[in-house]
Amino acid sequence: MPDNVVLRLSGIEVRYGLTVAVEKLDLAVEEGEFVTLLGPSGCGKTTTLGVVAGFFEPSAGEVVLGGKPLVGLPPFRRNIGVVFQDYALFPHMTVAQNVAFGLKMRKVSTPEIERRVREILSLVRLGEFADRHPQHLSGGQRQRVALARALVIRPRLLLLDEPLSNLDLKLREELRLEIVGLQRQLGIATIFVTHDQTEALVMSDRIAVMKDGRIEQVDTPHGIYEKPVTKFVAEFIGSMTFVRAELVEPADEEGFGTARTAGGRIVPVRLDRAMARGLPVSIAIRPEKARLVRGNFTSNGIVSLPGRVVSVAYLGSRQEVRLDLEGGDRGMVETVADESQTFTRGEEVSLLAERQDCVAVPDSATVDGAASD
Amino acid sequence: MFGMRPWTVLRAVVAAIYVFMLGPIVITVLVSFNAGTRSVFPPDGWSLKWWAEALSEEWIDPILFSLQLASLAAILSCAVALPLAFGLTRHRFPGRNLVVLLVLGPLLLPTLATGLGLLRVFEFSGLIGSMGFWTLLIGHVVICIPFAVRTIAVSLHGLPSNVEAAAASLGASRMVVLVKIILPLIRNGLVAGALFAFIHSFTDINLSLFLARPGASPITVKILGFLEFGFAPTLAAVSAITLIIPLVLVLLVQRSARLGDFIYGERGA
Repeated sequence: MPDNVVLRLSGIEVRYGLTVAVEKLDLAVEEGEFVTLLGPSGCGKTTTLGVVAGFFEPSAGEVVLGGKPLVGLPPFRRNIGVVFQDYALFPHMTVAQNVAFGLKMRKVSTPEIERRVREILSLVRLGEFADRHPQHLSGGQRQRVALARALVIRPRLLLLDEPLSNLDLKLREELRLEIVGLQRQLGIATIFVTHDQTEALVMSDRIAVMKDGRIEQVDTPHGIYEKPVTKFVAEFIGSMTFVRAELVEPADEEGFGTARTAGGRIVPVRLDRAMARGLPVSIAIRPEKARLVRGNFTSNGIVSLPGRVVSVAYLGSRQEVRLDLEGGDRGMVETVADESQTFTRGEEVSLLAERQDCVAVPDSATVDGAASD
Repeated sequence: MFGMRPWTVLRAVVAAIYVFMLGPIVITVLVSFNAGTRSVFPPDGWSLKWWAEALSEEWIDPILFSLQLASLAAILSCAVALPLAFGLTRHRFPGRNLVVLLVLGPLLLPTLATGLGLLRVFEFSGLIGSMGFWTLLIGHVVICIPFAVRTIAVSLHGLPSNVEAAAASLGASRMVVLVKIILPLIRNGLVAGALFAFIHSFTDINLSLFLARPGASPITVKILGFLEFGFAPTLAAVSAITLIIPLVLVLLVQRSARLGDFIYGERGA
């Protein structure tokens, strides 16, 4: 991605007194790309967005947009569109005046302003609301006005700070697709901040999972889901069975090694990164990748973990079975709910999974164990 | 009485409060239409002659003087209060509590003390010889600032979050953000602050007693001076005029800005 990069953050650090909000953060966003900063509240994702927008100055690091360094430049000289969680519309202006504000600041001619406002409002399907005040719009409509207002200035970059969090579920799902559609159509590089993993998976080209002011992993949604590099990433996206273990044999040329579980079993595992022998790891297994059989089952090349059924949640066509695994770990298996798969509480079962679906992830934040959290 | 239901008691108390508050005012207004030369109630006949006298130059001049003084005091105290309110609501700085105390000072101290202090200051600075409208204005601005700071600060607290950041991201410099976004949104606070300042200045007597000079007297000082010769019905008419001016202003402002928001709650513009 070297030539195509619009925004590059390198070594960003933000401190408030003794607290470190963002630490050694590197991120590059390509032309037309939709990148999501995903993480729990307080992980530094909104602060990072604020650094890009110019609302906070980083204590260290560089922000380069389109080849131009941004640090020290006030927000009003950055040409970056921002959409806020609470819309931040100007209540004393109509929808059209809100949208026209950025163009007026750019001294665009009046006929040109009118044309572009009309164009963008029809793009977000709010043409007939131009003369309303924001107070008389629904939440979804307000957020579309905010989006139009940020896009009409043709910014170099679009920043979305949890724009869907104040909306109800159905509206959120609609707006997700609408935002991504607009973003693709206009081809504008976008950074999206959210704590909602589904939003991140559905909308993003790439996801950066953040924790404690650092990026744990940047990858495509598929990569994040299938190949998490740390336990935190594996845990944050989707559900997961974690089995505590210790690495016995590091990866061979095919990327497989073996690990010893807390229950003392030697099992084959997939290793996506080089890890040292003896490293404490968690074996991560997706519920939908695991199967369940009655009794104690062993077979070569297949991971088999004995346990006892704790609960069965019936979901219509599927069911979620929770287990107490040997060694004290908790397991979850998602299977079809048919007669061959009826399990009762207390029953002795085995959780089965192919070795390529058993990913060993290090327990500490960094893969090499160079730093821990 | 203790057998009555609590609401009945409360209603009676509220009614009594209104009677005691409004009663004297109503009587004053009625007395101003008295036909006799003495201020008696109920009036022993009806006439407009006291009103004619009240509208003569002798009384209209100090009323106009007070109007000018209160208008300027309102505008200037808001001009000073705006940056003060900004500083106090947005920033934590060393000495902030001292500034809070200084701003509230005129509200906490007896105005007599403020007046006496100002008089001494003007004396020391050699202004005592040229005292008049401008020195009165300085004093009035000082005592009006707390009211203006309060209402403007309430408005600033009520500003929707992120609108300033949004405007900045759209290309508005800090000055443009102030003029196009903040000022229109805190308009009600500014108007309410100016109104409270105007009324406070227009009705002030304590401070004006110290700073007024012959030829430069607000209407309140003039009324008090005239009282030494007894309560002539003219005074009732003059009082009624000074009552009507702030009342009309309040009614006008109330149409656009809800003043109650600034007295009863923290709800902003």
